[in-house]
Amino acid sequence: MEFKNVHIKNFRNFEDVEVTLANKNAFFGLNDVGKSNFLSAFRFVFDKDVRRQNFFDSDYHCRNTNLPIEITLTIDISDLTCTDNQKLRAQLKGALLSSHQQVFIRLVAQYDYAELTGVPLLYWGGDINNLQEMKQRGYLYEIDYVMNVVYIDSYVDLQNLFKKNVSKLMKNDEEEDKNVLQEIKGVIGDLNEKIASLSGIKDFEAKVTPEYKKYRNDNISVSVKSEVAIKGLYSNLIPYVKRDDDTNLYPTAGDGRKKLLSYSLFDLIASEMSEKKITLFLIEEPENHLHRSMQIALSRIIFSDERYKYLFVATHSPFILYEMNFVNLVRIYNKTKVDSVSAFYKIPDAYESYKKILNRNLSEAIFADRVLLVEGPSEIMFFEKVLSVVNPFYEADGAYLLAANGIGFEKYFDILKGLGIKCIIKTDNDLRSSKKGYSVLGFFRCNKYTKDAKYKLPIKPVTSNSITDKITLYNNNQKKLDEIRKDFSLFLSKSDLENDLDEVIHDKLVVWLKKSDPVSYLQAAKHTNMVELLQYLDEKTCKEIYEHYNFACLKEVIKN
Amino acid sequence: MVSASAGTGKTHTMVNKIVNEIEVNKDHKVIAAVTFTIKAAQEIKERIKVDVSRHFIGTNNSFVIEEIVQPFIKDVYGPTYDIILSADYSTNFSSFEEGLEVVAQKATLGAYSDDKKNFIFELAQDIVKRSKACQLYLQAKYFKIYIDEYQDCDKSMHELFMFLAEKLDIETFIVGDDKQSIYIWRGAYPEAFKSIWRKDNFSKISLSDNFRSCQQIQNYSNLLCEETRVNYVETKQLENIIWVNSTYNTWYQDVLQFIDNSKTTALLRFSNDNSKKGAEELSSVGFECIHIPKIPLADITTESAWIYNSIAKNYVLNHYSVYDFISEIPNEGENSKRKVKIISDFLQRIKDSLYDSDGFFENISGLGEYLNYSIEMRHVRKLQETLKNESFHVAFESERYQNTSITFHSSKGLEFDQVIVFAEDYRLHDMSSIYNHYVAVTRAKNKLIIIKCDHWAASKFEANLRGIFAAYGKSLEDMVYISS
Repeated sequence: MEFKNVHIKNFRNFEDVEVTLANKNAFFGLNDVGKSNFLSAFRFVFDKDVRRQNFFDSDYHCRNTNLPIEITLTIDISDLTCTDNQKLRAQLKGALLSSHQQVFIRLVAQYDYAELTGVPLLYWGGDINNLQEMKQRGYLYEIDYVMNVVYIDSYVDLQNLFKKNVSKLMKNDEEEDKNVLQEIKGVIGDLNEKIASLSGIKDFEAKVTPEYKKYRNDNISVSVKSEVAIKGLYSNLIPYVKRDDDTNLYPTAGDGRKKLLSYSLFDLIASEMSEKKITLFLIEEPENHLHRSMQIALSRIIFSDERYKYLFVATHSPFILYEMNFVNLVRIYNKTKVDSVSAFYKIPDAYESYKKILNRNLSEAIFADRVLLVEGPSEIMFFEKVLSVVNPFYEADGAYLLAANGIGFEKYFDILKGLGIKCIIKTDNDLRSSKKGYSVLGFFRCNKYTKDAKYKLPIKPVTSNSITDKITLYNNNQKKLDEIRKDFSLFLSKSDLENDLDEVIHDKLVVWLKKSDPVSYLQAAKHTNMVELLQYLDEKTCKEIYEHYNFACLKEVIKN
Repeated sequence: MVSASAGTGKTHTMVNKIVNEIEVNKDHKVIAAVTFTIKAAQEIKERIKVDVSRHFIGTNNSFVIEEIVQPFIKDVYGPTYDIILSADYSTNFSSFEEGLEVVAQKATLGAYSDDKKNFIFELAQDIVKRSKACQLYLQAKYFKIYIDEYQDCDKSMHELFMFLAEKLDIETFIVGDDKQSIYIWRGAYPEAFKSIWRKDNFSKISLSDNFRSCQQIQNYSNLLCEETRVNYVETKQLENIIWVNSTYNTWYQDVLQFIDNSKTTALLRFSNDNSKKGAEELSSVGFECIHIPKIPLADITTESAWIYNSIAKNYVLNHYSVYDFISEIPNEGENSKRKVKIISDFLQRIKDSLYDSDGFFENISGLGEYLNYSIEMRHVRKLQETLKNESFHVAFESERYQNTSITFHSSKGLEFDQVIVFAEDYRLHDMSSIYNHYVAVTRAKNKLIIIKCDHWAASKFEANLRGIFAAYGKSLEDMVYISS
């Protein structure tokens, strides 16, 4: 079973939005753009308890109750060996014919002006133009016999969750339990007798009954009992934590621990059902209350555990995405007219060893609107300094700097572009020695990126690789390079960071670093010496750099 | 495959197995348990004490209509067949093509004029063989199919069930007894059951311990058929089977001395008329015996048949409430209070309007419409006829009467302490007749009384019976007590 697509019409933020889906999906975007509403759309389709509440007029986009709310999901079920597909088939019956490879599930809610509510009706089948109405039994639809929704909101209440499911999680139905349960019943009886015999209790009961009767003369008396006797054994059970090397019990007090224990319970509840039904996990902002390391641990579980096969998670936190793989990233943006884009992300096979860096950089970058991709950490340090002086709120405004070192721009670029995030690339004008002199590596990189004859730069090797050679090469092709800047936001250095900077503030570098050749000094120990330089950079210089042709990429990333 | 002789508790065995397998099964798949009559299906449902709302328990016909024909006919014959079908076996035709035409034109599943051919199963077979979606559906939904009374299957039913078992690889559990094959006259094909016995892909169990009948009656019935002769166990008892040579004017007197008045007794006859007459004759000499008639309602064979039956039960039986009615709605589970109220109101109005033909029809139509079952005027008339004539009412609570007279066709699955049969009803000249006799005698627990009057068929019976026993080295006198 493979989720393919969702189409939402006239529901809350969404006037008409269509998004590609996969089995694991992460929804992200700014606050109030409708991440939760996206999950709600799924809940109305799959969660009987949400569906039975019906729609209010405020659930209709801009309260337009003249049009129905319509949510349509497309699921591929062509794999005949997949047991989840069999679960669907067993319920779809004749709604699925031999020629059909996909199932469409559609919710339609026409607003009823007499009842002041929108009652959802469900349809499904293999032919989008001829869907069958789903049979209903009470408030259960056929889909409810196939799908089991586990919705985890950001503030899971452990106690409630535990209480609600305790009988499902602990089945004491073995033969030998019968006797023990009978014994417990006896012990509870004894307990209450003992309680009742306490002088304080007797005294209280004797006093409170006449007090009550002053208000109302019923034939009652007030009696104090342990709750376990009234509400049953399971009402009183509470999970405690016991350390491996300690015999004491500790309450599950911390929010982080409560949350992890809640997730463990959800896992168990889901496994209980897993063979009978298909479990969908809808998770809302799981990062709340969790420390960074716990978020990363959770990320590992939801992206690698087989149980979270069908996952729809809304998040603000890059840490939740640190371990992402085979996931469809859905970015929701634009508050006024909600739009969204999605891209499927799989860690590239050849990049297994860089997985961590790649994932971490990406999971941060996808929360931005504009990303400046640069060569390495010294660029990052330098540009961060300049930008923080020119526009201290650049990150809040949606700009993000990402160093592509070692991995290559394209791995980031494809995903970011797919998500509609603007990419600005700043790369060096490298030359590399080859049999026929020096090949123009930087130009090659540009050509590969533009993929258009109109922007093609010459690729004839050059004879030497001095800085002057690079600059000459740049100047000879500047017209075309400027067009590439304009049309592709690709900024080739004239040479590299240090030389380009030297061109702007050579005299200041000589003074600050007390070196006659500051470029060589900076390049000798890139990281340490860049740190040294940054302490001298003043506001005036930063602005000068920001305004200079060589660093025009900075203006581009600030431009909103 | 379980080959189970009479009284061996085959339905009990099957029900226990179903309960066990439903409880053990972990995945989403369910079972189908099918049998021939609505009554038998209802009985299985009642005996299974676990929740079966997601499983299919019903008649063979409803199984193929609901699970194969209705959902997938359009997959094979195209969108013109995307219609809601109803079954009416009084619509007849002679070829498959004509039958298909009736489906398209009238949205009705009819029947061949030839009783021995089965249109619905031929159609279902065609669909399941040609529709990949149907095959995948059945495989995805069912982990096991249980079929009761397999000896009553006709050829096309057998072919369909074997397709499900062998081509679709759905586990199949078959129960039957070729000796109880009493429907050969309408196409039942006991050879099918025997052919499975020879298959390697079925494991076979044979149940021969009769928990119902005493040893002498077991011996008598076991010698009737070749394959059960091995179960013969020598006994000295002779008083359990009484052979009464008598006359049409005196048999009901003669028989009385052998009947224990404190035990249940059934007179089993071939024809409805003889059954009625026999009850009157026995009653005339002070032996209170109730004839359980064939009711006009029994002629209704459409899928709406249960509605008429349930309305009738609600009318006749005091204890039959709206909840009993709801429990008989095929594949229906939850009851809202509202629904109970609506149905309860309908049933009351139906009761009140029995003698107002228009109102009666209107009320039943209303109920049918509410439950989505089609109601026909001619069927409503049959119901009215059944209810107005109080002599039919006993048919709804036959178990209340100690002594009854019924046709042996309707005695299947029942048991009585004492059974009276007439020699002339069984010539024992062919297997079909032997099977009929087998079914009749195995209804008896302690006593079997065989009445032989002066009739050519009765003489045939005696001659053939003597021949059968002789083949095992026994005489008639070794097997029964003969009273003159």
